[in-house]
Amino acid sequence: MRPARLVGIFAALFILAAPAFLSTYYLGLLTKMLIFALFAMSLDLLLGYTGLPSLGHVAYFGTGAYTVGLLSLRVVKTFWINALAGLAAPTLVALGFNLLTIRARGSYFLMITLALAQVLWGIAFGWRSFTGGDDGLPGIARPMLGGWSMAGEVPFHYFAVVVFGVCLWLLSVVVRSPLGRALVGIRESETRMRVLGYNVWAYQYVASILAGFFAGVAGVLFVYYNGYVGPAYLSVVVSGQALLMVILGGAGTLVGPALGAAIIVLLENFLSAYTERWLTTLGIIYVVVTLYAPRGVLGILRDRLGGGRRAAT
Amino acid sequence: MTFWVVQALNGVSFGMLLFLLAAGLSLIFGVMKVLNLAHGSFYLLGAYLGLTVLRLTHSFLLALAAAALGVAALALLLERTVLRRIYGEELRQALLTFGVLFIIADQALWIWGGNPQTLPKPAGFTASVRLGDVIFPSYRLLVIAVGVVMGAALWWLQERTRVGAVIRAGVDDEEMARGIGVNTPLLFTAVFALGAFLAGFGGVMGGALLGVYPGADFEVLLLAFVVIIIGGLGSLKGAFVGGLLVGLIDNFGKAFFPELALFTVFAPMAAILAVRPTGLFGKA
Amino acid sequence: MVRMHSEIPFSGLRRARPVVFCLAALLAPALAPAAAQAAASGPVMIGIVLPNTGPLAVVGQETVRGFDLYMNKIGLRAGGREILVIKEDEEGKPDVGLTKAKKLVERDGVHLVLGPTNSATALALRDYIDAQRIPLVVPQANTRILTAPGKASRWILRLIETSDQGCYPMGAWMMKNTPYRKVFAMGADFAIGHHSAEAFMAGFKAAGGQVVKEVYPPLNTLDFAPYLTQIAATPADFVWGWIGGSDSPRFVKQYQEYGFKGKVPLYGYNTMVDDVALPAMGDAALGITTVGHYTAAIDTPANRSFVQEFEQKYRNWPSRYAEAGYTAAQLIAQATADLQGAVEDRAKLRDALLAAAERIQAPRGPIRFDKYQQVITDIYIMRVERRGDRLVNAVVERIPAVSQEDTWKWWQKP
Repeated sequence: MRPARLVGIFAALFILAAPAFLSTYYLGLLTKMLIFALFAMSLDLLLGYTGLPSLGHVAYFGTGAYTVGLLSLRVVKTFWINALAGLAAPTLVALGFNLLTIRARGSYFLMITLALAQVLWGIAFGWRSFTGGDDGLPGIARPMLGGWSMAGEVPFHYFAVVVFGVCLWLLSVVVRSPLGRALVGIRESETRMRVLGYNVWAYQYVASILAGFFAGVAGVLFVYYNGYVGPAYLSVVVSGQALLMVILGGAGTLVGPALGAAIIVLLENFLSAYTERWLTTLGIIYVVVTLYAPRGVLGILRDRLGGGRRAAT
Repeated sequence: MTFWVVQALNGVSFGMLLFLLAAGLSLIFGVMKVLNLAHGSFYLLGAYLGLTVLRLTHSFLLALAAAALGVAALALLLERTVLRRIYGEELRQALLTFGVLFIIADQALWIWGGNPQTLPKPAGFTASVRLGDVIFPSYRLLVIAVGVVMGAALWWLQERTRVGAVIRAGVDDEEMARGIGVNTPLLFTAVFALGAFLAGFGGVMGGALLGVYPGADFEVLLLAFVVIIIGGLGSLKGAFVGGLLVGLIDNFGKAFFPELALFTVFAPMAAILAVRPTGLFGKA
Repeated sequence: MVRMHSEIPFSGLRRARPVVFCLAALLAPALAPAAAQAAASGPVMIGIVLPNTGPLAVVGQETVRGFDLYMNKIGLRAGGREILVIKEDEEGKPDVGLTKAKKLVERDGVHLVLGPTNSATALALRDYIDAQRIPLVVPQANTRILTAPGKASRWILRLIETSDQGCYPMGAWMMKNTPYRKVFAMGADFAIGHHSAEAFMAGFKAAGGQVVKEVYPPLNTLDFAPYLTQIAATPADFVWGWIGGSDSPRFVKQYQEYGFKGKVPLYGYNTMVDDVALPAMGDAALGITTVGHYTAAIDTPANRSFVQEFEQKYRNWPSRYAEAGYTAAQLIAQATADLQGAVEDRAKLRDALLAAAERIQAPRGPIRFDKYQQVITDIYIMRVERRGDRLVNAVVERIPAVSQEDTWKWWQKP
């Protein structure tokens, strides 16, 4: 059996059985890892597969979170309505923003996505009466699903696991589909794809919408996880961390970023207990990874383990 | 009348500061195709270095020199040891500078602490001047003057010197430039150091005006981005005009629409993106 | 050897061992049984959730300094037990604060939590702390919502005045003690800035004053000129502002640069010229009159000795944030002593904390808690003066025992 599959099964079993042997604190941490894994994977679709580096991916994450927060606090507590709205809003934002951004490439794309995400941050931060401004919106209750309350760590964990699993499956379907392959082709050489008759812009646009959608899902999960949403959910630092998660795990591998997310979330929580200089450590990891392991952990692993398709980088 | 004069002068002085910041960033990108995300950190470091030198020597000029040169030296080191290994890979270089941003921000917090500080102004510019009915800080007039002089100096460098010609060649077509014998690695190092020099210089000038504190690196970086998106990447003229535009729009916007204070800076940027994505004077 | 890896059965599995091992090592601490509640012979565990990085870092660090000063003074022992302090960085972000609080309560098993600084974090923690039924001592987050009727939790005690408690009485004070009657009000554009300005204006108007204009510059405004130049266009005879953080030095300097200092007197809340930011401001800050619960210039024996100890250790005068940390430590130590170390019963610990307020001598003066666990404290009107080679917030007047209920009951607004 291929080692990758084995590790995958081990991980799945671990995640499913976790409530049996993990304390609530660590279980919560595992749930958080899943949420950010989803966020990172959504970015991988854009960065790893399509080759568009976005520093503004947090825009969709935050929009999903804020939509759910605002609705559930002010309008209605029904989960389905809020969740649907929480998915529709980031998709709409993606539709709008990416009309402006998809004409750009490389560093331009980095700057423009960053700047657009900042506009949203500015709204969240500045429109106090609507979004609560810097204070954010606390007191958001976890949903009731068919009579089951998600308030406890364990039910919420399984809720997140189910959502994660479904999204992972959907993303892998996308990635293996002709659309996914076309995206990889575009990443490798736009001109070639254009010559072959592909509408490059359209493919990139669709990819960006999908990426925004899944980021929105992660945002919805996160706002329920914390019971709170604030401008930090739209901050560039989170975009930057997502980028690091993708690169660290291995861009273009879909599962790599999930691993990257797990590593970063763990590090963030443990390092700060032992040193005050964990931001420096994070920066050093960034530098080291971009220098020596640009294909990420998964890239290294695949090289050393030999078997399996080579990571598409 | 007073209102208009003060706001306009303010807009211009803020714009000059933005120009200094954006010029370095734009130059680095134009020649090396590197989006230096640590540019705000160079500003921050420049401001803090200037603060320390000012405390020790009470000389503003010395602080300017020390800060600008110090930051340039650090940038040189960075470029030589780390950045140059991944030439040509835009994204990797940009990400690497992002990591540098974290490191510098944290080290600065450790060394200089978290208190917001302002750099003392140079002797002779601490008072305000009276222009008829208007009272205006003389230091801000100095910033305007320095900005214009720097702009002229950079323009002269770019248009009238051999070095400038080499830089322009590098911006236009790096491969070709290398083909005709330009030592591109040296050029890159020099340009990166020059950009950092400008940022460090801007740090001291800006530090006396706006102060220095954790988080300034980010704010400054974002503003530089806005200026560059509006003015165009790789263009000195764009940085100048963009800086002035953003400075003026920001000031007047705040005065007339205080609730939309944060939009006044991002609105023109979004407009340019929609209409002319490469910026007013940018190269495609 | 020409056999491909994939042909050797389970070779991949052997190679995968280091990977699985690493994963396991990373997760191993998770499998260790969670720290059981410390037996009554173990140390008293205090969890601290304060910012150590980010824009509020200096406030968090000052608080910890004050806290450590007292704890070290009593040798990290109280009620016959050792005291163990676990510090976590909330980074000024509410979701991080929540995660760290969960870690302290669930993994480390602390007996009580001290923090946070950020009001948004405090609000985000409120439901969690209430559900966990563990005492939270709040040294800074001064949003009035936290201890308001309907929102207050029996488990959350706050040591610092709300935005109302500080600013509302100053309105009445202005009418009584100054000739100024028309205010140009300013507040940083976030909840605290708005609430503070609102409270001041309410107090001022209730006493007969007039509000001429209100403006709310965003946090981290680099250039206050667009706001300041509006002052001259109004008939205001003074300016009152809530400005804090890194905005304070800029605001104060620009106020002077645009020619307002000396022409239009500046009043406000103490964060504008607190003892952390004041040294960097220079003479531009002279004469600014603010209100707050503490200044290092308070002339009582208790405070003088506190300032002396602090200065000896840290070579700086203590700020209002350090005082809050020190007072928190006093409170916790006293409560622990009163319980003779038996801090396991959280409800008893909370009640002991509430009762301990009247037994300690806080540097600022006497304190006690109201029925929403909000402090009733003296408030000081202070003015920046030069004493020797340092700038201080000199006491102008002391307004004793101000409670959040005395002040304008904002929650009962018509």
